[in-house]
Amino acid sequence: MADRPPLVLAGTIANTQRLSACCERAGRLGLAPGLGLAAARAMHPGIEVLPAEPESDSRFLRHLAHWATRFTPLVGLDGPDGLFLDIAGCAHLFGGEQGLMTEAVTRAGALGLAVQAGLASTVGTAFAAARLRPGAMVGPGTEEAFLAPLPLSALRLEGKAEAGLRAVGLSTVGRLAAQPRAAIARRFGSAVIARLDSALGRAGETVSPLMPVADLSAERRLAEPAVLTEQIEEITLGLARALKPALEARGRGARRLELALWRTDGAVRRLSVGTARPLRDPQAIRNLFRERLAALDGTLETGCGFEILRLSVLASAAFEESQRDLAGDPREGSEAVAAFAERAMARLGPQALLAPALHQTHCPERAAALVPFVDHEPASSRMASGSLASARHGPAAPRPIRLFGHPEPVDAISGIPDGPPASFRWRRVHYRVARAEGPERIAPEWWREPAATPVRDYWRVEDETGRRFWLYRAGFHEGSAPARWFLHGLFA
Amino acid sequence: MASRAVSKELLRDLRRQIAAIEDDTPRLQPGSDIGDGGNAPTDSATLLREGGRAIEGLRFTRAQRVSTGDEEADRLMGGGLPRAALSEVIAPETRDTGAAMALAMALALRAGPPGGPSRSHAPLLWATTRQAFSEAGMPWAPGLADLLGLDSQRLLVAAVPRLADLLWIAGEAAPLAGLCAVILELRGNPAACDLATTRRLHMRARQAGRPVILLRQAARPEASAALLRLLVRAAPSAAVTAFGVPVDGTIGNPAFHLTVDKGAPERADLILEWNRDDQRCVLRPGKPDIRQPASRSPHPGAVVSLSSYRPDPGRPSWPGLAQPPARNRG
Repeated sequence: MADRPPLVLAGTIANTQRLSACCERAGRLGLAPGLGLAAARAMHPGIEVLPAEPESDSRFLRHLAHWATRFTPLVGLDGPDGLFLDIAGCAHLFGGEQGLMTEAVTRAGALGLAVQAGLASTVGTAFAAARLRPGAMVGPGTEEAFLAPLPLSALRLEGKAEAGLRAVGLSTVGRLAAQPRAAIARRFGSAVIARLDSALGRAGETVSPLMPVADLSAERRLAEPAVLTEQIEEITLGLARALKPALEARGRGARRLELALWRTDGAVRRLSVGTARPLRDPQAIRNLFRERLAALDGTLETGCGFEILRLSVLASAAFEESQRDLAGDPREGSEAVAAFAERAMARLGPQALLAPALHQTHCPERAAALVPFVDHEPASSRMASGSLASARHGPAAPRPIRLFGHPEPVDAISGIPDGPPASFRWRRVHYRVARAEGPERIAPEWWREPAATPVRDYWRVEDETGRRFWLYRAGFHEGSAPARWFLHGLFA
Repeated sequence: MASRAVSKELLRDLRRQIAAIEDDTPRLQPGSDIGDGGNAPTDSATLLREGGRAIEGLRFTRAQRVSTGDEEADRLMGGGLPRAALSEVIAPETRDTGAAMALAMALALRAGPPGGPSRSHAPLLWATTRQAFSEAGMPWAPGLADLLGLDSQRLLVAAVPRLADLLWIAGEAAPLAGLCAVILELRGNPAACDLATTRRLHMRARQAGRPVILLRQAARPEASAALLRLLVRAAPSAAVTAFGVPVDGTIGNPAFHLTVDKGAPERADLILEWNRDDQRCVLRPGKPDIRQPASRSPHPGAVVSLSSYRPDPGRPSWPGLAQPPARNRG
């Protein structure tokens, strides 16, 4: 490797090609990020220059954030090159705070990453510790003493404010903190004071997590990585058993579950399943993940195996306890149907199983859209809204039993300009209309549609062989421009 | 005697194959011939023929067949829709899908829920591929409520991108007694839905005790395990009557032109009207007129004999042969 020239990355910063990152040897040569590329080349013609890829860096950092959720579920991003881990309540699992920090640095090192870590009880001080004093652990109450000798770059200030403060001679955090607050806020903006307060613990600041934190989760760290799908299923069963008492104590059942798997090489897979009813039964949960794993069809890429598995309840609902009477459970059949629905959705995705959702509208597309069965409201709440009753008794004119998602344009000829179609051509076939009923005028919903949307005149027509169609004319004949006709549905 | 032994051996081999398809151990009972007695209510019906013509039709009980609502229509259809079995409804062209769907659903709903009226909330599963969805539209709840009185709460639609997933869904759903019926919609005649697959669906429908209907869009009849096969096209509807007089130019109850292709003593053509008020079918009297519309045949008059709508069935085998030709050659 010694024969390889020093490496720098360059990108366009403020309309100039500048260095954005340097390797260690380039750093020893006196190159630093921010230097112009032409100047760097003039100083050291032998360096190797590659274009910077900020998007790839950001993607990599997100992957790393997913990996870091093995230490704590609360992981947030810090700029383009840092991660915040909120380790409250997690440190004891790794033998204390020092143990956790060592573990994180060692494991990242094993992935081939050189990382710096710092630990503090406020977000701002943790930032300063990690960036400027790697390995430091700042106890609560000692933030001020720790930060005082540090330069202003410890405070996450904007470039302009930092340059301004430095220009007036405030080079360390201690000197800035000694100044009257009102004057600083007036001259350099209130953001400076906010950053200072956050670092010193005077104002609260929390890590905003990258992923939602589950209410309940169970995880298992394996001494020997799991490679076989059967092993993963068995561990999932164990985790589901561990979750059951917690769900029972809360009177809840899981509606959405996620299984996260950490592979030994740092990759993280997340599999999630939805359920059709609040679920607690460990066997049923295992069966759902069995379908989900089967649907992956070998794309799980086990590699050298998974070392941590975490089962999280992402969404839950009140669990209705059922009592079985002597005549048998009246809901026995529907339970089997719900279990079938869950298996189908776990295997084929939530879009695979749909149910109609009725809405109070005249617009046929919106009146009964098919929505995923998971989001489907239970029967009782929809009965109350009365939409069902109106759909059954409301429209007097017959409705087609099949509706096209997008109305299909047809070439229709009508005897009189706004009269029924005499014949039409649909999918390259000519139909002669024998009978027609209509029109039924459905006006566009002006509060939803653009103002120019034409009204629709629906006709129910029957051709000579008895096929019945639902046609509509959009707008009216105006001058020489004929109105457009569409076929929207098929009748029985 | 030798030929008898061979045919028994053949029969046993076939039984084993069927058992392997159905993932079940063969239940061979000495002395019994085809079928397994009391477990197969639909198979036990006997048809008496005299000189090739049926003299006594298949007599089914209400428990075995779902009546269409019209006795004569039931007779022509061999008793009605088999209750605990696979049936096939074919729309020869995509544009007839509306008619085929209405008839399939109407008969499935007439069957009622498998557990008696207390299970009247049992959902109906409509399983289809996304392709069939876009070709002939999606099932629309207001129209189904209007025509069949189907509560939208009871409609469950499975729409999957691939045929393999559809067959998986159908296989999982077919044995569920909590579903009032399973309707499987396919386009054309895919090779994946073969005799073995339909036979498996049929066995599961029999276990669950309620109908499974295979609805084919734009398909031709082919060998399957379905007990009943209907070819359905739209027929001109009845006119609306006012004070007992039909009003010209109105579109009344929908009508369907059915061809009973399998499952009845004889191939029959009939026209059924769906009475949406009584929720039953009514047979339209008289012979159905199968003539194509004038616009479809620009040269009136038969120049040569018209080809049938289905592949040539082939000549009947020569009466002198005792064995199927394939075995003779081997």
